[in-house]
Amino acid sequence: MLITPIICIPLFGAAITLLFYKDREVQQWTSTVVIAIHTLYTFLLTLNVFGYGSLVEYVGNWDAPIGITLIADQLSVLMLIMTSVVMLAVNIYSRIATDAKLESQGYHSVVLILLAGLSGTFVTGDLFNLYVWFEVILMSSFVLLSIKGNKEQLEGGIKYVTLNLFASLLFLCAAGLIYGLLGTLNLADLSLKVAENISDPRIHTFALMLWIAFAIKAAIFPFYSWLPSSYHTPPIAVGAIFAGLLTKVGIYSMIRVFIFVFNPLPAWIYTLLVIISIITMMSGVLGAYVQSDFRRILAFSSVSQVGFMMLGIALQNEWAMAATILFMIHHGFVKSGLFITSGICGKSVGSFYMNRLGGFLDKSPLLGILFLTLAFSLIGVPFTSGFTVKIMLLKSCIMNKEWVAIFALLVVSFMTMLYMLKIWSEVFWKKLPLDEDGKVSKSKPLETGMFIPVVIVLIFSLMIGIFGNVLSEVAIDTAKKIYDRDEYIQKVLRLNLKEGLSYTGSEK
Amino acid sequence: MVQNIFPNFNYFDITGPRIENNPLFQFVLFITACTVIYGWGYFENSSKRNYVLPLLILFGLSMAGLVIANHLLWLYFFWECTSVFSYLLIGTYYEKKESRESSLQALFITGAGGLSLLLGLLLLGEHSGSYYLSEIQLQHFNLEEPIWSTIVVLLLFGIITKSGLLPFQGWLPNAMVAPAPVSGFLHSATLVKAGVILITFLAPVFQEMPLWENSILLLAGLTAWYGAFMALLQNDLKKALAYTTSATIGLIGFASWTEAGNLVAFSWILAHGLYKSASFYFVGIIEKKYESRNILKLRKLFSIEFFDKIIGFSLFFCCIGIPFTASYYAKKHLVDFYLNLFQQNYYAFVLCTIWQSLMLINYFRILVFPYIGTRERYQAMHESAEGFQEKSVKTISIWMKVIPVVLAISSVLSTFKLSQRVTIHASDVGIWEYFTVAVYGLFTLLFFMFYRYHHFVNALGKKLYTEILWKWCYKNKLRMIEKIAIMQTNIVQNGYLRYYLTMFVVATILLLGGSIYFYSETFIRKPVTEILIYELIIVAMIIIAAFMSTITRSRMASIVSLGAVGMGCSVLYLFYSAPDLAMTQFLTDTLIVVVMALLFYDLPRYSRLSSKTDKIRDGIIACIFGGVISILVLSVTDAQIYTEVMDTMLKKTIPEARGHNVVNVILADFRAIDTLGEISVLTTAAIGMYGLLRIRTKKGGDES
Repeated sequence: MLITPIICIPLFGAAITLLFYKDREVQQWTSTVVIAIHTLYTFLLTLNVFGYGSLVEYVGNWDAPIGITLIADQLSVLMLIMTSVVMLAVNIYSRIATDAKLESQGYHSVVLILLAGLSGTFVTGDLFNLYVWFEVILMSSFVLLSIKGNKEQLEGGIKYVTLNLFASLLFLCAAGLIYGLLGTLNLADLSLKVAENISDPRIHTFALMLWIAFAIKAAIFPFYSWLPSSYHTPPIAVGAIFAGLLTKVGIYSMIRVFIFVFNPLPAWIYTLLVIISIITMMSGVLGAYVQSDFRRILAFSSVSQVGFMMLGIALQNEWAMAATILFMIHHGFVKSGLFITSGICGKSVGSFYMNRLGGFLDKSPLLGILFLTLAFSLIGVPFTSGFTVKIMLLKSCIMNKEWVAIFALLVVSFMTMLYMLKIWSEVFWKKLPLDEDGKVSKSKPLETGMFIPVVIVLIFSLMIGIFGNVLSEVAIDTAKKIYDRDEYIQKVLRLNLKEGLSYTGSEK
Repeated sequence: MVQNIFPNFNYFDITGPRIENNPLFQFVLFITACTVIYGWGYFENSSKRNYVLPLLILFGLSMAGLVIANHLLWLYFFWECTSVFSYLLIGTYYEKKESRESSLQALFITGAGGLSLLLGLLLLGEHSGSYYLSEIQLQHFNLEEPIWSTIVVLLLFGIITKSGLLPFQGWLPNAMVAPAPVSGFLHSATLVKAGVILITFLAPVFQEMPLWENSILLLAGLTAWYGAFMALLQNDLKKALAYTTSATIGLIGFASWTEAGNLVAFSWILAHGLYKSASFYFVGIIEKKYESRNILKLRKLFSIEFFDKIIGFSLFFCCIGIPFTASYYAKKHLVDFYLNLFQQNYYAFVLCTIWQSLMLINYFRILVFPYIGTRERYQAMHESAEGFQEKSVKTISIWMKVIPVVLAISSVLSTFKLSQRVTIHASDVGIWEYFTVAVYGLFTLLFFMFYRYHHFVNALGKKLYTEILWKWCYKNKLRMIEKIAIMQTNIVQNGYLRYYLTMFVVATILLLGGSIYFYSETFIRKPVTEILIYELIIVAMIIIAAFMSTITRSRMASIVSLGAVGMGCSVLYLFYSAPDLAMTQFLTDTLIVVVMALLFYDLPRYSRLSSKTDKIRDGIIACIFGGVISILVLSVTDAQIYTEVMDTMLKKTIPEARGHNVVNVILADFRAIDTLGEISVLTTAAIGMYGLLRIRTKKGGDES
């Protein structure tokens, strides 16, 4: 099965939508159809990968490590599923909550390009190619952020793009330095060569440099400032995509490059990362606690959740890695669902500030149930996705005897509960407050159709919780393949490791 | 180590052997049914019915699950469910701020306990080698290892928060903002029992541990006394009932820590569950009918219906445990247990007697006192003189009246079950009779004292209306968290881009510079290649131009110096035989200078916003960052370990790729998909720019 379609389908769709730049109807339908095809293709790919092992494609038929290799392994397809499902949900949302201004600015084209960038990131097996997809993501998300062009959005957009360009700069430098030292960019080839020179301090430093670049993308302390200053500004559909997918790119790249290629680094680096991830969790959760804007709470909460994922990477055992993999998927679903919920509430009242919101439980009990389930999933109540991943993290912490991390995990879960229930209490329980003139503020009726995307992501999220038993095994299997690289390297370089290294070009 | 810890959806994981012979399970289902019927009546003509009743049923199911759960994580699941549903139920009147705060307070405490319990259960599972309660109960562990103390502390924290034992009892009285069916069901019959029920489950494992025994005895004992005294000082019927509940739970906890006390604990849980929920429902009736649940106000009401007096009296008898009620047998079991526990230590009996008679006074004060006597009622009538009108009594649903009666009857009927198990040894030595006589004797004494001085007691209660303890426990902690949170957010997220960028750069410097410092012998070394003089000149030119661009006051000069930096770079590329690159660099730099110069016509005047110290600080940071990157770059020059990929690319360019320029072949063939990505970037940028420009031209200055 080919892998390139996963990138080409959305790009092709983007081209079509650009052809019909003035026709919103055609753009809408094209993007829905294209995303649906993409989702379908992803599921086929997943079946294939889990059935017959990971797939490799040599783009332009140039053998690795000369050309660029695309690989779809278990980790890739899991991420792809998350991406396409979130995209589908958001697409459905934006169909219902039509925003004419947004759509007339090329929204659909850019979203499709973003999807192509995300897909490329998750299937590429080449360091520089990864950088290119990062650029695609960066540019398209910047355009999405500032597309409506009001002051608040441009401000958020400028912060976002400046700080992320710094990440790109570091990534590019690091890629260049690594290429300068090891003479290759192919991840499989790199990991072989890194393994031969693993005691070289330069490699440790370059790995750290890459880590910083990914940490900025993933919004890890102290590199997270761009996230809370930009997530709450764009239209809800865009915010939901961001919340669901953007930080995952950083975490995924960390796993794929920092862990997969540069492993094992000296122990002090991992200790440092554990500390950083704990600080990230705490810092994010404290930030979320003081916010009064629905979406900003969610944005800060993303930071603390990223801390959990980082912790899983830093702990260096299979359970922790498996937890991080599932955590990314869980968080992608839950956070985008929560963002859409915030959009439904905010749009109806016309404000996202919690002192202006209220009365949504009486208005729509279904929305209340959806929000509460998502919130408890974020908190980690049993048989929701959050519980599965938190238990796995806790267990790996117990295995590593990281008592501080355990304590931090529990405290952060507790604080997560506090701020999520603050939203519940203010937005759903409290009566709709009077506006400045002392009149009952108007709120538009809710369209039931808007709940569909939330229901979709909720179902996927609950599946992670209910089938935690099965999925944790899948995730552990995936994690094992990340630490034990042989299968990947053999597949990509088409060599038998026992016969020694030889890559003198193709056998054509 | 247990490999897969996640529970399954099968019979063994959910209950396994633990459902068999489990009286608690039937008890919970029975109380659930009663409560739902009562709630049906209580919320007649109220929109809350659709909110409360489903939650009550869900809560009942999770409580039933809790008492039969086998897998530790199923246990935790039901435990959390009870917390969550109780949060939602306490907030039944969620329009009121008080309700919202009280429910959050309850979850604040039980949620914290839940997390501690989760960790405790995980550690228990990992260290005992099994996640099944039925298996763990049969095992024996070396409890002297320090990990078991940790486990016990964690578990106990979860337990005492849930059961409202001291020092975490504060949420229970405040949870009384909930309607009567919720209070009766959750906060007397089931939820608060969850903690002590868990103690009985774990008793076989930990009973030989001094830490387990002593901490439970201490906390439970203190709670029992605290509750008994505090109840006496409450004028709110429901709060007083809540405190008596708290006291009784203390008593149950006192017995439940060892396997021998299991029977006592179970019989008390059943007996207390029946009579206490009945009392709550009775208070619910009073509250509905007379629109008050304040003892002082009720005493001034002129007419109390006969039905209420009868129910109150009979419930009082259920509570104090006259023969043929469930609590009679529960008490018998208790005395039996005490005899074994304290080895004929009669001081314990004296204490027990006093406690028991205090509780009797409490029940009297709640269930009988407000509805009897006429003197005060007449006084009240005369004081308000002619204006006195008899308040009309609200009618209530028949379902509300039925349930307290049903519960009282079942309290009698359940004795058939309880009495069968009595193996009382206390009666052999006559202690039981002594005990009973002493309790009633003391009660009579206290009764007269109370009747004489009840004004004093009530006045004292009024003063204690707002409690100090729970405020300290809850509100101040929340405020503290908030303060810390605001402080850290102001530091980390202050809203200025320049600040963020500085932070990013400094953090990068620290990490990379630290690494360089750490490995200084690798990084700080003499350059391998010789530096030629013309290279040096160009490099110096680049550096000077870079400085110029930052310090110059003219915008044009700044752009031109940036152009000079680019030109210098392209000359360097030429030296190193990269003419394509040099050409590209040359072109882009020229274009940038030209475009920038054109743009300047439309930009506002150049203004200087940063102070001199800011500039110096930024300059230093920038120089260090540049230095760090330079050291890294220097460390890889001439150090390439592998060159196969480049060599192969060069070799294949002409024969296989059929191109003559390797750079072009790389861009368009070897790494064509990179180029595809870059084209997408450009397209996106174009879309974005077009969109932004269109907004400007369409709308002019006005922005929403």
